[in-house]
Amino acid sequence: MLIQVIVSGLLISAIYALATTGFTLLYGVSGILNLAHGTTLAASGIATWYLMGTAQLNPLLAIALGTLTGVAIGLLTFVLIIRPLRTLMKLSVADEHVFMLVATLLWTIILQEALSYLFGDVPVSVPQLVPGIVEIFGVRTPISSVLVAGLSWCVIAALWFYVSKTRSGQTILAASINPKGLTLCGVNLNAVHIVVWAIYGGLAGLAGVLVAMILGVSPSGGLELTATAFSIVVLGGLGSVGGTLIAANLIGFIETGTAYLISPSVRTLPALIILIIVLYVRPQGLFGRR
Amino acid sequence: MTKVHSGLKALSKLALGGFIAAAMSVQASAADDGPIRIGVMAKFAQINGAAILNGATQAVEEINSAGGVKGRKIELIQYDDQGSASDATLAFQRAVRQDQVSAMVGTFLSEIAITLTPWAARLKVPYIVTGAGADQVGKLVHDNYPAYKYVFRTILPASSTADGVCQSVSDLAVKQLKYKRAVLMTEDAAWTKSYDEALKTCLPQHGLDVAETIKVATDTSDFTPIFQKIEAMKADVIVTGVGIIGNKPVVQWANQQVPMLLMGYNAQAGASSFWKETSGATQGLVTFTAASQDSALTPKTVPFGEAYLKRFSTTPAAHSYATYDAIYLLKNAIEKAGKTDADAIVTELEKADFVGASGRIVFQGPNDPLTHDMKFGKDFVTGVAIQWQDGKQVAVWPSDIAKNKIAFPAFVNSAPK
Repeated sequence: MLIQVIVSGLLISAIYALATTGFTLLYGVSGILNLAHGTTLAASGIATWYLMGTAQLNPLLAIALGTLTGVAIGLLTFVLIIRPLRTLMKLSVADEHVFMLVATLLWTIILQEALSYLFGDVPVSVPQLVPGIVEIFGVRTPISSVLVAGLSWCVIAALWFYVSKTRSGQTILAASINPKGLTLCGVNLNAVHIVVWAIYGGLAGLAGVLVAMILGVSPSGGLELTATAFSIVVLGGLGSVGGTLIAANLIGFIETGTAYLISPSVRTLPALIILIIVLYVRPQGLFGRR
Repeated sequence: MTKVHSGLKALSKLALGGFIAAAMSVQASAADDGPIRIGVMAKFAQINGAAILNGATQAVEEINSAGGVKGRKIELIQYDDQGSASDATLAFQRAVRQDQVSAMVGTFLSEIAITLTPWAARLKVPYIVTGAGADQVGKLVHDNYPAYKYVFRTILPASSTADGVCQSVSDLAVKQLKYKRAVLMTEDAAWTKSYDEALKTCLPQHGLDVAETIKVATDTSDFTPIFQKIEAMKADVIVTGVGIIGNKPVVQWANQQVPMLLMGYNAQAGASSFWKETSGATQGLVTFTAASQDSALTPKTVPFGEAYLKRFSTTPAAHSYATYDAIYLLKNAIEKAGKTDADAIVTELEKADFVGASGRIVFQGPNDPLTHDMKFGKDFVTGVAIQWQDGKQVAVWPSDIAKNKIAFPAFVNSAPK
């Protein structure tokens, strides 16, 4: 039982980690809680399902295009929703937060309705890249799940390398710490935001494809994915990538343990109770906030 | 002066009464000559809602092209309930009060059908449920008859579905495959209460021990713990009851190569589009359903299936058969009643003995436990069990109709444990 909880917990946590890294990165740099996050994931998964199944594209090409769908939606969100609100309406910081939340919520409903209209509101699944199973300490596990978990951590590692070791990444890091200072140094903050939204879209897009491969996605399931991501980043500390990764594992293991030890029908409950307790005791999350 | 005033008052009352009577007469005359409006309601973006809409559309197109109902066309008005009881209630009221439909058909979610049942009684409009299976609907009609007499159902109630699942699993899993131990895995929804109870009693009576009943939340995304728990129980087969979460358990069963058959009832797996949505992961799944394209339950079953496939590029699901038959039942009732009066339609529906695409439909009476639900069993509606084999749904039960045998996916052990 313990081995099963550990193996299943590790696999689901890896997907949670990848699915929320972009969400928290975006908040860290732009201060935006993008409530269209789950629908961006769902759109990428559905696009890949369509390209691989109906359009019969090569699986790797379909996955690449599905990920690019995430990039496209990320950039569209920035260009159509975020930037106009910031530039056209001179809002106070407090008002801006509320407006962004409402705007991204409305945007997610638009995306959801568009997806439902185009593909129907049905859950769809992307075929596994490598079918078959492998035994991990006696626990039978789909090879695809192991690959997805490995890929998730590789992408997160690549993101860490990019942010901490490259000049472009350091600029993004600086934008998250002191955006005004960066502007005074002559850096075009708008260009930085475009790069961040593209990276966010890429991370969300790839996560959406992988979630569609392992769990399946649907247009109306987008808000549920957003709620999971929201819980994880609030628990870890808004804007803290490290906190998010640890919180993703915490939530993943707590949910899996609950499903095994109590009942699958209440798997999300203990994690939500812990989240409320953390908010009472440490409102900034486990690892602080931006 | 007072006399003159009261005389004028009486005259104006008479004039007003005459005007209203004339207006009503004109309206009634127009209503009797114009198209007969029937409302269809479901969440159309979902696979089951689309099946309901398509079944209704198919029937209306056929009836209208054959001359309508005694010369009057049927006008099908669509109401998308978005899977929400409050939206459905508002749409139902609008349909009756504003659009003046003569009858309503549809509804996939049992929670919505239970909500709408009193409304059909209050608004006095015939309402045929064609997607929701909770026994509570029939019980409500029974307990509140005659006030709730307007509600009928042409999809099998959960207890009858459980009966069909039990019989098919008994024949296929117990008698043919010699299985002895099952796990019941059903979604946490209104309709599975009576479904679970019936199967927990029926399956052991047929020699299949139910090791455990696992309830699954309808928003479950990861089924890994559930399947691993089931595997640890050394069960031979998983008997399912899923309508809302049709896709995810099936895909993860295939991806995780859970080495036992999935049988029982999966509401979404009845339509051929399910193969595409699961990217073929449904290979090997067995589900009880109303009918299939290769099961000639009645002379209408196969022609309907073929016409439906041609028209909508997917095979009909159980809800398509139910809605198609419901529209024809309404047509016959209106023709026999000679009018669209609700009570007259109800009287004719209660007397109906109709051979539809899903079987011979006769409704249970006011003294039966599930009033206005279809009679189930031999000589009435029986249903079939189909299995997904290489992209096609093939009938595997009952043996007098099914031409195919159970086939096993590569990862499923055929022998009992």
